[in-house]
Amino acid sequence: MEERDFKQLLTFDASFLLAAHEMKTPLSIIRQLSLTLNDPQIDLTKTETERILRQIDLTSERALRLVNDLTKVARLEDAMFELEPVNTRKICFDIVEEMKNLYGVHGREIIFKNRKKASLVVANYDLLRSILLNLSDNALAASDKNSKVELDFSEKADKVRIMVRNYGDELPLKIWRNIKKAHAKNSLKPVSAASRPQSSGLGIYIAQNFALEMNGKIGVIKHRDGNTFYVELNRSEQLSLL
Amino acid sequence: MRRKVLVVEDNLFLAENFSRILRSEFEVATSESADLAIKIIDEFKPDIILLDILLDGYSGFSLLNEINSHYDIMNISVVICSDLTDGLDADSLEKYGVRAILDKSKATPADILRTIKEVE
Repeated sequence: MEERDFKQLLTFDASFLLAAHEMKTPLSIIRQLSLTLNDPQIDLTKTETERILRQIDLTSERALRLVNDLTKVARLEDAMFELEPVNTRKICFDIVEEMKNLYGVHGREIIFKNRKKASLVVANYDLLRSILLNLSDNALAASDKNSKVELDFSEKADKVRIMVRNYGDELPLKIWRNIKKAHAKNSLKPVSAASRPQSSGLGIYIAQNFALEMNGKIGVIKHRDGNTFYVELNRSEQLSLL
Repeated sequence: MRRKVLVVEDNLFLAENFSRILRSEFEVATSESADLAIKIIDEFKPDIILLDILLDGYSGFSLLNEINSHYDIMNISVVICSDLTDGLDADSLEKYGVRAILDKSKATPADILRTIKEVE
């Protein structure tokens, strides 16, 4: 085996390990919940049974989303992800619609600060959707109970930022530095985004790869009462009637 | 009087589920973080803590250290229930009150209930 192939294999191994860690959590949850449903010793009301089934459903969707994203990351170099004008207002509404059930069962809410004027960005809809789902997923984990996560966008010169703001603990300095460092280097390696291995920044890694594919970037702004993660993309000059 | 169990687990679905598994035999409270657990320990005064290690924010080990450094709560028994149990040394954790270690990805609801019941 050539040295180059061997090095590539090592990189793949590290990625597989990381992905395996990320997958272990949802699989453990699904297993525990299924076993509970099937355990005759545990008395469950009809409402509880329905809630468990909903939790299994949401956890499976989350795991499948991760697998789909990882597949896309692996295909980024080979596959052509066509860039086209994407309406920021519409995609924000779509994300809120897609995430509201998951937020609901966690006692949180995700909202879109509905702007009257939409922006158009040069993006691939599927990749941008994946980025925003990953950022919203991170925001859910980092937000205080009963708090809202807000989606918003802003324009500056020829760039558009789509932002996901959460209210909760500020990002630990070490993690923030890691993200900034990775961002500065345009690194394509996972960054540590939490103290726990199963939240080892794979979502950020996926988002970063997808953003670069669309000539954009991701970033984070620290607040004293939370964080804003954003994706910045080129504004589309195409005339919009929306 | 029923014994009290504090479940420290940052995944809401699992925390709820552990509570369902234990409620027939124990009085159960849950905490999603090590920070919050300290406050709940003061008020709820648990006999046993079912502890996840990989938590958002401070880890389960930080909580073990904190518990061990306070005379009035250092005797609370702890059962670790984590996805990463391979590297854990039961002998060295015993002095921190850890009575058992459960692998979250392998333990069944019956295992969890039995283990907690066996803790003195």
